[in-house]
Amino acid sequence: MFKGKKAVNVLHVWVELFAFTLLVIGFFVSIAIKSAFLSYAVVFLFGLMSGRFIYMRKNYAFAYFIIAGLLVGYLLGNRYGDWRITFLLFVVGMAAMYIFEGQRWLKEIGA
Amino acid sequence: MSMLINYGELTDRIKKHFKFTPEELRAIVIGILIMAFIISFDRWGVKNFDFMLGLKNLFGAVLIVALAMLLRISAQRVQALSVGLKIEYRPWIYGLLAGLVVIIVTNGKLWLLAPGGILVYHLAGHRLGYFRYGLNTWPIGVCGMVGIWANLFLAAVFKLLIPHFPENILLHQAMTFNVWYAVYQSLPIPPLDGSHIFFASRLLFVFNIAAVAVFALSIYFLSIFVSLMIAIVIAALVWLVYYWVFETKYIQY
Repeated sequence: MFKGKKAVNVLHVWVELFAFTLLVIGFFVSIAIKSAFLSYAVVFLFGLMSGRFIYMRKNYAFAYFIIAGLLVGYLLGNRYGDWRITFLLFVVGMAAMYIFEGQRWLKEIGA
Repeated sequence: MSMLINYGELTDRIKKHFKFTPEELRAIVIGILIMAFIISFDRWGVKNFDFMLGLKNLFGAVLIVALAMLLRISAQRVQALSVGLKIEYRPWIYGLLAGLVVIIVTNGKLWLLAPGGILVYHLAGHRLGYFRYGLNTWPIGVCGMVGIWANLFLAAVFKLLIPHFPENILLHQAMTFNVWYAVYQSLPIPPLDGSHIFFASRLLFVFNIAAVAVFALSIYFLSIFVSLMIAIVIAALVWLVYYWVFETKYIQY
């Protein structure tokens, strides 16, 4: 079916692809928001998601790389908020979810 | 394929195994609150922010979401118990948080409703005599499908009520919510119900998603019976085309 086709081996570069995709998503989400308050709310939610992602894969370096892609993309597209507060809220969200996950208060589904 | 059980047996199983665990109740409450917030996001005032109006709309949304979620999970539980399985509802944190992000970014224009999914356990003893005793993908897929159609059934009930109470906005919102909830749950993304159907049978998945999409669209314009008939006919055609074009050519058994 794919004879003679040259293609990127996704299995070799999936971390970079995933990080780049999240960078683009983070950029467009950030640029679409038209107020500082909403921008801070969204970055906090992204922090919560990242906290869970890191908690499930804390021993794997790729997880930090992927999360960094999302954060960089969001900061690049950030028009209204201060980048330091945005960064801080992302870290706070991540830490909060990391602690919450550790307590196992809620049985969740998926990884 | 499946064994029929009598009414007494089913009620006994429901009495013994239907109740929700504390973790499930917590998950359901969190899911209800977040989804209610999502569907009432753009109802906190017309021009300026109105806290009391928003709270009233949020309360209405909580009622709508609670009814939809409880009916869906109850229908799935009863279906699962009838074939000797037990269902546990689990929240999907990524889905809930993504729903909040999408609603903020789109300013309340797009609902993303993916609150959680089901985990299925096999009740030892209740599946004695079944062909393939343990957990199988087919009954799990059927449980997923029952949940989706329970929501569409509820949407149809609200559609029947709308002509009697045409000025009640809550009924319109309840119908729309149930339609969208069923559509989102039909997607083949784990842990949503569509993924269970997909893993059970690709053909069933194609039929179901086509039927849900057509019914969801046509229920706004046509009567319930006509919508259902059109949905079944179009889904059967899509099923047939998928079988001819894809299954017979690209899938090697």
